[in-house]
Amino acid sequence: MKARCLRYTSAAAVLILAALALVPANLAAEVASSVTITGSASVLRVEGATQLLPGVKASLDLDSEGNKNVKGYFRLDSYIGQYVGIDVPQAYLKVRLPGFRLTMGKTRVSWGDGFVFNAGDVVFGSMETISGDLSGATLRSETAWLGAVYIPLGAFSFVEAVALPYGVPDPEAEEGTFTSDPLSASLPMYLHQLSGGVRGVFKLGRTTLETGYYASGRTKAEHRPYLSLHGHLLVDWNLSAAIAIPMFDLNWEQWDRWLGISAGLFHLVNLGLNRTLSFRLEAAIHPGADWKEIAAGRDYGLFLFPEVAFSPTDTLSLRLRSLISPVDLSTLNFLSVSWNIYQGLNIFSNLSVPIGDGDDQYQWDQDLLTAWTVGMEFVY
Amino acid sequence: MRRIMPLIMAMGLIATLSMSAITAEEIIANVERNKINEAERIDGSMTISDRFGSRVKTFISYAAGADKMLLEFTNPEEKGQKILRLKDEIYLYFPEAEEVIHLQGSALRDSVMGSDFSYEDMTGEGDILDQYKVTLLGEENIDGRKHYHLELEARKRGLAYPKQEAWIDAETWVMTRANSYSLSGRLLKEMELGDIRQVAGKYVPHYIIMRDAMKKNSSTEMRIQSIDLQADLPPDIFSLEELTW
Repeated sequence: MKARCLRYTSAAAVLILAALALVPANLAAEVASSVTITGSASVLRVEGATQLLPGVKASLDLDSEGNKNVKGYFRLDSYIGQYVGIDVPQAYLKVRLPGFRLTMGKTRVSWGDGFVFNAGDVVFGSMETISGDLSGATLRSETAWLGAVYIPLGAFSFVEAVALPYGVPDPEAEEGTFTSDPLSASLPMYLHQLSGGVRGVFKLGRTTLETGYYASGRTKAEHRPYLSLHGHLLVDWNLSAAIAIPMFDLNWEQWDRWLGISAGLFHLVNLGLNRTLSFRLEAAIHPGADWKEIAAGRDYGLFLFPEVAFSPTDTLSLRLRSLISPVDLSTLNFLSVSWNIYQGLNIFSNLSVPIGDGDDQYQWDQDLLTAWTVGMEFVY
Repeated sequence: MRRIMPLIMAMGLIATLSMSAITAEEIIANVERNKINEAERIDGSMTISDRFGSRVKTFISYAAGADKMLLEFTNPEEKGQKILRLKDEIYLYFPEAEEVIHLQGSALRDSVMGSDFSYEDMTGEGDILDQYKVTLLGEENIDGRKHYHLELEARKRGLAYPKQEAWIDAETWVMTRANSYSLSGRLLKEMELGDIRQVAGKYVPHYIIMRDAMKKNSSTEMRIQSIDLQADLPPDIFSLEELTW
């Protein structure tokens, strides 16, 4: 069954890739379209051997235009490389009505604040470490089928309620494959499994206060209240805390294992001549997790994400990122160079190197973590 | 005689300026009256040129008064990215991540999309007389038109340009040239404005070129394709709701 699905998926992906170049020219005037093609080749370490992994990813974006109260957006990703696949990461409708707006479809809501670690992101969860690609402009981009109501309360305050009937896809269940399982969405949905929540965002002087509650009913049945603050005092800062209380089998002695705290600092320095240097430091803290190195499990209490980005010219950028596990002193380090040489074209190269022993969070010989990638991305 | 000549010239300059009977503050007030609109919509483009060629960004901007502006990019590479300016705060919106970034302080001087314009250049610096002490240096004839030559010195720290020179057309009240300097007096940017057209009783430059004096072969041209100075703007357009729409 799975093999047949994959064959259909492969055929569809090839057809879609072939059609991508033709579609934009024939679209109606009420649709804005763009295509992003990324070709890359990676040299990486898999099962002790060095492998070459070339691939091409093509994304088609269709965005409605012409109606200022209704918005439709559709994104189709296709990939041809070691495997062939298609995905629809986003497809949604937004409608603006007097006093509120509605969103329905597959998209993302960004609750809380934080680039990598964000305890306030109680919907999608941004407290786990990232073990793969650190090259993206955004490192958390999971989407899910959702319905949302947004009610503005003045220029910078609002209340938002969201419902996720299918919950959030479990990344571990997908086993790292690119293609979403089309059958996963057709499982029966029961009302008691519905996930949903509400948040309020309020501006207090130069500080933004956000608080909310989310009930996860499907993958992990939990109550998740949270509080998030962000503002500017010499540098941009954010601080969030959330507690994930199990709905069933409560054991209050483990309350500190439910708590997650994230904090972040960001500062950008303009060096003149359009040269900029930015610094970012984020921390994910799990007070009830392990604070001493252990051989198995690696459920550690502290992770750090430092980043330094330097743009010596308007079109060239260098970025050094690390994920650090201070408890076992292991790191995953990432260096990237990107050059926007012509309109829409970026040439890039990334190097990823883990440093750590065989039983650390990041292991020097761990599959896929040691990688060197060169590629080009073109948007038109 | 050598000692007297500069004195005579200085007195002559003072007499000329007195005869013009207009102060630097009045000139700036006229410039702002012509420039600032209560409900403005612009469809424009920005062409960034360097030694590898040029990149074009298109945008729609909405403005009300001196310190409210919303700008949305419409070219494929940055489509849907928005900049909201409210007084001394700037918010950026990235639609792919549904993310809002709040800029304050020195980040306001960062380049917009690799252009020679900073976020402050793009969205305006607010009330000029609140921020700068202005001095009328004299009158000059540029391309056959009378211009006032002004010097602007920052009243407070933290402004993008501590010192500026500006040339104002005495008839249209359009700033046709401006040079920006660092605190040490080093030339940072040169700006020229042209293709001035009368729109709804006001004079609007439809072409602006900005050159970064520190970079060779680099410039950014901005062109206005269409402008509406009596746009029907929704009352809540300068808000988070509109930014994230």
